[in-house]
Amino acid sequence: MIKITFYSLLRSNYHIEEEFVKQGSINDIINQIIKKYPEIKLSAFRYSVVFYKGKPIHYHGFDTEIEDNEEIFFTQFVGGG
Amino acid sequence: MSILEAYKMNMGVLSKEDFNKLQQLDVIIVGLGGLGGYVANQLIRLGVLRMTLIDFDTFSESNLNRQLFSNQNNIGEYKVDVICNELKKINPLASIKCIKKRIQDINDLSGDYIIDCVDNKETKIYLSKLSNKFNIPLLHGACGGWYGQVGWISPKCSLLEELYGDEEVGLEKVLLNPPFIVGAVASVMVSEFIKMIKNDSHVILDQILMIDLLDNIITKSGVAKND
Repeated sequence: MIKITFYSLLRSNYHIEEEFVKQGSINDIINQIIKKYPEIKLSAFRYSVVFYKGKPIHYHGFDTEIEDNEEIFFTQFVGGG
Repeated sequence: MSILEAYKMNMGVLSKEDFNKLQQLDVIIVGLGGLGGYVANQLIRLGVLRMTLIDFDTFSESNLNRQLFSNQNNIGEYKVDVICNELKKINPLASIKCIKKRIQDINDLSGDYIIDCVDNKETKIYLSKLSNKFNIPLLHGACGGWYGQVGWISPKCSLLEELYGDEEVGLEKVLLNPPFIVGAVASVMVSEFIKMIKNDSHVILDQILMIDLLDNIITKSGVAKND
């Protein structure tokens, strides 16, 4: 299983903090999340950043496979000052 | 001015050696808008004496909601000039260099630390590259809406380039920048600055501290396991 933690808009808009899902790519994980929470639209993940082992992964890298028993988190970046 | 009296309330977290070190540093603050004004204000009140302030911009009405030193009387004035004057009112002994240019138009940069207070991701990535080029550690800060990011980026680290990537939209474009997030993020930046000066093991280095004031969460992005 993979532990998912939600931060930023996904957390505040959908009131989801943590989930455990089956091993797979980030896209697979998103599909599992959407299946469980149909109110979350796929587009909600479009501007998410996934942190995996301390490295940020953007939408175009969501085919990245996450190893089993790992954890990732979804967030979004800010760039204002 | 009595140095001992002015700074005595800092000395619970600063040792005498820390304070002496602060007074020797040359700190480069890039961007003197929201974050930069608060950061400069706190650094001078901590005892930093030498700063280089870099910003090409002037104060405008839309800055009034969050930029500490902006007011009705200085709209149209260069931010670096206003802030330099204000900092010198706090400590007249400070040596402050003001540069009214875009950071991209500056060919040479010297100092002990670069502090990223700029308001767009392109310039943040540029600062990360400058940090690498001149081998100067970078203290990153960014904010938008309820959210903020803070972290030290060492010169060889590409985390900011990876974080901002090719994506065009940061949350600040939608949620804009209210004053509370600016002050909060700037304060966390300065506390990280002090941890770095003290060589404190809690310093956030080559990772990002994610700040969420809506859900009241502060979390670390984690360190890459293969680093």
